[in-house]
Amino acid sequence: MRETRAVRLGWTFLIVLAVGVAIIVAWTVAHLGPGADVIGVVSFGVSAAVTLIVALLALVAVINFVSSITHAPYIWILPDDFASIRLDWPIAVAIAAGLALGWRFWQ
Amino acid sequence: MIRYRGVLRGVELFLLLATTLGLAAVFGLAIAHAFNADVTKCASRGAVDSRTGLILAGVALGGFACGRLVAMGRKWVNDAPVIRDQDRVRTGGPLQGALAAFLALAAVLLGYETYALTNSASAPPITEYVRCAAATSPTLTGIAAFAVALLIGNWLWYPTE
Repeated sequence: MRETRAVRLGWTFLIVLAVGVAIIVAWTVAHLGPGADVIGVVSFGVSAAVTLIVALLALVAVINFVSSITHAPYIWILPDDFASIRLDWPIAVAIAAGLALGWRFWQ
Repeated sequence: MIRYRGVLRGVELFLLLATTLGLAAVFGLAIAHAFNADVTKCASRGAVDSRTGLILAGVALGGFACGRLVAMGRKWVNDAPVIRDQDRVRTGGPLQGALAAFLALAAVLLGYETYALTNSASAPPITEYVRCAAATSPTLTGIAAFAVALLIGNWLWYPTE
């Protein structure tokens, strides 16, 4: 383990993430008209949103892994104002929402 | 206990390696079986009974919760600083490479799943592969689900204080 300089991109990362998810949500809602294949549309929307989030996290993780080898600056993606927030409640809410959505559409 | 931290870091690396190799073996087995199978037969939700599905969901949730406990242990073993916005961070090590590889692989698989949901005739969604795995070998599927959920919980639900 060693220390390296961190470049703070928290808010930039959050904005890119939020805009991407908002576009996917808008697409999903727009395709949920009468007679639509609700399960298919929601499945695609959820899958696309999760792909975007994980792909962005993976991109940062790969860049940071390369940084740790090349001693380049590290990318810090936790926004300043959220750094002290405990993850417990957001994760509990996310699990509950995932279970409720899964039960509603795929059970 | 503090003097055992060095030993426990070795145990941590060994467990990560064992989990990774175990998962690679299970997924390799699943892929080998999938080559000779027609997974489109698992397209319907009825391919796996709802009781098995619920049990596997519970096992995955249990793995996620255990991942949190492992993360708390790892935080203590590595004497990790409080997570908050900072100018300098501690980096390096095989764990960081494993996390990057795990997330990159997950992103590729999720991308395929998204594509397959609209092109299921030419590319069966991963959901169908998982359903077939759960129907033919629920125990191995449960072990894999537990291990994957444990890694996710360990990395994404890391204690911030």
